[in-house]
Amino acid sequence: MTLNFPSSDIHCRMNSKNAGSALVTTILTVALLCLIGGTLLSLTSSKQSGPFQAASWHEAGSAAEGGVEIALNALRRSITEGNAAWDGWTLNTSSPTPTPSASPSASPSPTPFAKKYITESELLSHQGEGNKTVRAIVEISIPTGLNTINPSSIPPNRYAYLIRSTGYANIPVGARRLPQNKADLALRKLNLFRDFRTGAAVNIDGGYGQVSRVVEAIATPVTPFPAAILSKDTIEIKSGSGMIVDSYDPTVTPYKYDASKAFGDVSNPGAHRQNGNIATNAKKKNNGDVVRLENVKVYGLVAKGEGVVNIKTANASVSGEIIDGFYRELKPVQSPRNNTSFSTPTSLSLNRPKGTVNVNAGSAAGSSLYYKTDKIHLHDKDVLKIKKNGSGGGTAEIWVTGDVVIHNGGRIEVENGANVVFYFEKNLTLQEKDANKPAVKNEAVYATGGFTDPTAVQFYGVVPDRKKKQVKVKTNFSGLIYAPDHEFEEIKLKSGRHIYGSLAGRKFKIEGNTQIHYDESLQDFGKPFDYTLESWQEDWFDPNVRTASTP
Amino acid sequence: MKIAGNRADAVRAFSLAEVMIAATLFSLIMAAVYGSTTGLINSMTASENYSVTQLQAMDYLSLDLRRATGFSFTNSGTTLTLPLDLTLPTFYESDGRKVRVPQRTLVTTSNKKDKKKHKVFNARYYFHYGTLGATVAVRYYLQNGNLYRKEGSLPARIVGTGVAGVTFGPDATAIAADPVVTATMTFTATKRAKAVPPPLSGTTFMRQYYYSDYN
Repeated sequence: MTLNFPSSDIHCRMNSKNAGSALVTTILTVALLCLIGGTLLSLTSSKQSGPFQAASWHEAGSAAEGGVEIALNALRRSITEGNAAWDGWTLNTSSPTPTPSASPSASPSPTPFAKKYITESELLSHQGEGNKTVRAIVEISIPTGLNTINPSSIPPNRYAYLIRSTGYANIPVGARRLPQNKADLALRKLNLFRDFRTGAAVNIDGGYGQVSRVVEAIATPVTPFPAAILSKDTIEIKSGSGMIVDSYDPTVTPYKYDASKAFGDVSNPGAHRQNGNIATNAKKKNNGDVVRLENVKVYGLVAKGEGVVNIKTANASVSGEIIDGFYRELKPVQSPRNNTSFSTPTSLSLNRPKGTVNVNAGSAAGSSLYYKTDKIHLHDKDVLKIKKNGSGGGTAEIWVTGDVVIHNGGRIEVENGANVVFYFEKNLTLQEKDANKPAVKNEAVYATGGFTDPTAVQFYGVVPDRKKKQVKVKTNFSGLIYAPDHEFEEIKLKSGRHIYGSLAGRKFKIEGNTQIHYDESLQDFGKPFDYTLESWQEDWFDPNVRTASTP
Repeated sequence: MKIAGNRADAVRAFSLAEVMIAATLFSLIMAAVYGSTTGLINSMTASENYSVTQLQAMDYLSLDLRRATGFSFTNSGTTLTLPLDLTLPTFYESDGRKVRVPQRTLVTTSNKKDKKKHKVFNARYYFHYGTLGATVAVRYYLQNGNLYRKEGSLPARIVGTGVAGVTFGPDATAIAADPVVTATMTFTATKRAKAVPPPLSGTTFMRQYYYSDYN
C-alpha cells in the first residue's frame, strides 16, 4: 500500500519544529555569551578604575610640582630680565600684600602677586589609556606683616615668596567611581562631581572627573655672600705666611682682629669666630686638588664639589668640617644693560681726573643715584669720593664699562652714611701705595658697633662677553666683591693688612700675609642672583581621621 | 507503508554527529571564554591589588616622607625598618584643614639648632608653620600584616594590607647626608592576591627635610 501525503504539509510542519528549536538554542547561547561578556566587562572595568585613579593622582602630583618649578623659574628670570619674566602671568602688583583666607585649605593669598594657568600644552600630555592631560594653576604671593614670612624687618629685595601650585589630572570616564577602600578614598580625594577644596562642580568636557593635588613652597632670594670665599673653581691659599680666614658677627662683637682673644667670646669685643667658611663648586677626579692650603689657618669649614682639600703644610689648618658635594650656581647679578634704572645715568669722567671727584649717593635709605663711566683709573691725588646725601643711607650705583684700576695712591672714599655699588665689565685692580694710602677708604660704620661696615662698598662683575677677566686686591679693604666670571688671580696683602667682608669669584689665588675676616651679617646681604626653596609642603590632610577626632 | 519522496530525510533532526560536533565546538568556545575571563579577572585583580593596597601604602609613606622635617627609623641590626616616626610641620590650624600662614623667624643664640648634616651654611632664618618647634608626629607601624598610619593622638588608619615587612635604605648616615630614602615593601599572599606579590620599592626625595633648616 502506498500512502500519498501532501509532501509539502509534512515538510512544513517538521521544518518549522526544527527551525524553532535551533532559534531558541541560538538565542540562549548568544544570551549566555552576552551575560558572560557583560559580567566580565563590569568586573574588569571596576577593577581597572583603581589603577587609572592612582595614575591620575600621580600625574596631578607631577603637575603641581611642575607648577612650582615654573614659578621658581619665573622668579629667577625676573632677576635679570625684569618684567619680561612675567609674560603669560596675570600680575596684581597693586595688591602685593594679601591677607589670609578663611576658607579651608584654600590659598592663604586670595590676591596673589602673580598667577598663571598652565595648560596641557605646557605640561606633560600623552597618549594611551587613562588620563592624557595634566594642568596646573600656580599662584605666587608675598605675605607681609607680623607673623608672616616677610615681617617688617625684611626689606623688599629680601622678600620671600609663597608659591601655591595646584595640579590637575582627569579621571577617565570608565574610572569615574568611588574607590571601595577607605584609605584609598582618603589618600586620593577624587573630585568626581565636586572639587573637595572649593566645592565647585567638576564639569569637564567628556564627563571626566578629576583629581587635584596642591604643593605649597616658600622661595627666597639667594644672596652672593654666604661665605668668606665662594668660588666656581679651585681655591689656592699658599706661599705666604700667617694667613687667616675667620669671621666675626658685628651685631655681637664689634670686631677688629686680635689673635690673642678667645673665639666667640661675646663679653670680649674683638673676639673672632669660626664661620670663616670657604666653598667651591670645583670637581676634580683622581684626587686632584680643589682647595690647596699652605700657611693659612681657616677658622671655618671647607665645602667642595669633588676632589681633595690639600692641607699642604704643618701650619695650615681647617677648624671645621670638610664637606663633599657642594654646589651653588653662581649666576651674574642683573647687568645695568638690562636695568631700566640705568636708562639715563649721569656720565662721569674718572680716567685720571687729577683731583677729587665728588659723587652723591641717594638722598635716603633705599634710594639710588645712577652713574656711568667708561673707565675708572685713579693715581696719587686722584680721589673718587662718594658723599652722603640728604638724610643718608642712600647709594651711588656706578656702571663701569671698562676697567677699574685704583693704584699708586689713587683712592675711593666712602663717607659714613653713603653707599656705593660698582658694576664693572672688565678687570678690577685695587692696590695700595702704602699702609697710609689704601685703594679703598671705607668710612661707613655700623650704627650699633662703631666698626667699619663693609656693605657700604660693593663690587659686582658683570661681564658682557666671554673674555677672561681678572681681579687683583692688594690693599686694606672693607667691602664686598661678587664677580663669578672673574679670576681672582692675585689677592696678596702685606703684613698687617686685612680684608673685611666677603669675596666670590671664578677662581682664587691668595698669597702674602692676607687675612680675610668674614662679616657674618653678610649672609643675608647683597644683590640676589637666584632663588631657592626654603620649604616644601603638600596640602594633604586625612579627612576621616580628622572627623573621627571631632566629637 | 512507504512515504513517498525523500522529504522526511531533508527535515530530520540533528544527527548525533552534528550534535557532538556542535557540543564540542560550544565546549571549546566556553572553555576559551572561561579561560580568558578568569585570566582577565585575575590580571585585573592583581592590577587593582597593586594600585589599591600596595601602591597606596607606598604613596602614603612617600607623601609623608616628602613633607617631613624629621625622621627616625627603627634599627634592626644594620637594617632600617618600622616603626617609622616622622615629624611634620604644623601645617594646619587646629581644625586640621585650614592652612596656616607660614612665618619667618630670625636665628638667634637662643633658638639656634645645629645645622643638618647635608647643609653647608648656617641658617639665617627659620621658615615654619605655627609656633617655631611645634610638630605633628606621624608613626607608621605593622600589626597583623596591616600597615598603620597614626597621626598624633588621632585614630590609626590601615593604609596597607598583606604587608610582610618594610625596610628603608640605604642607611642612616647616607640618608642624613643626602635625604633620599628607598622604601622596600614585601607582601604576603591574601584572599585578594593568592600568590605572593613581588616586593615593591619606591624612592623618595625628602624635600622638606632637605630644604628646611629647623629640625
